[in-house]
Amino acid sequence: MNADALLLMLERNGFDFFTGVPCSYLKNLCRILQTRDSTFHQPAPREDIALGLAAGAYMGGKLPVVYMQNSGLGYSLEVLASLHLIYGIPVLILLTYRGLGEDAGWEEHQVMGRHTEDILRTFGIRYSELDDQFDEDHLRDIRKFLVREQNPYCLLVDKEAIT
Amino acid sequence: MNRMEAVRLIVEHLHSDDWLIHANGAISRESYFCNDRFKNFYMLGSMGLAPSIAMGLALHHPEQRILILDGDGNVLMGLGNLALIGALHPAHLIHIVFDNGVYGTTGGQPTLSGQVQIWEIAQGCGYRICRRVDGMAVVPAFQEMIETPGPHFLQIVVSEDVPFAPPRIPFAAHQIKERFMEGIRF
Repeated sequence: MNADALLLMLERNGFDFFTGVPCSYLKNLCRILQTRDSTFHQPAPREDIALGLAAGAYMGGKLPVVYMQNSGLGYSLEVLASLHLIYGIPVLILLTYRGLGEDAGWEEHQVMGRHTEDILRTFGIRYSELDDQFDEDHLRDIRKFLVREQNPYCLLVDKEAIT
Repeated sequence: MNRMEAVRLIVEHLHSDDWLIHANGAISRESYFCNDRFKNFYMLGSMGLAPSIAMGLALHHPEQRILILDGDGNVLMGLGNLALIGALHPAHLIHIVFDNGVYGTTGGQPTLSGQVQIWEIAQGCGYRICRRVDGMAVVPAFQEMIETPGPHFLQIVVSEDVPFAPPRIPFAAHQIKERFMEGIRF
């Protein structure tokens, strides 16, 4: 999906604060986000801090999106476990899926790439893939889930998913 | 001065509109014990992240005074937060650190605050007024920070003494969130 179209769709569905740590898979999205002010998009120095910012933004009236590489999922787990998942903080996590296919040639992504979905399942975090079929109906369902369940939701983003 | 006394000193000088974001552990429990308010957010876990939560609120409520009640162990765990707050310079945010030099709730193991000047890190990150104070100097330093555009960093040196263990916060996490959101309804 085109980054502009994705961002428009997210905004149309009420997502109004973005934070995170960049990944090369997200460079097109980040390029657009960088043109916005810090009340709409504020990068964070690390993924756990991005999740903390998102929690504050949520309590302050926003519906947040946090973007990160799956390597950042490691830093994020304790925060998800002891903040979002117990307090009930809805946040959409755009999680890039490093370590798949030929990307497994990058040794630092192998272990997390192999276990990303296991980890999400173990923590009871709902997820799906941002694939070719992804459309506004899916996003509306995700939004409904976030509002109803007051829980995080994760969209896995493969290399060419956002162009 | 022990931490409970320092916490009491701060909460006695609050404005009723102030929002308070607490670090996990004893700081949350002591503040709850001294002066529980709907506008208090108590972090149970996610150590180091109280400033991130506060910054997320401050971004969208720039005129609101927000206080972070933090500890030295917490700050050292989340130093990236100092860079973030220094960079964004929220004018009405005051970061208060009760520095007893130890991880109190786990048995008093030393933190690095004995060897590192945390307030100088905050200053280097761009906080406006940065002070390391104890005893009688706390209130005037706090007053000065209230009257001047921030962000400010108030490191309060306290003893490790814990005269008595304050009770646990009797709310589940989701109740803490709902109460706080009700309290700050804007």
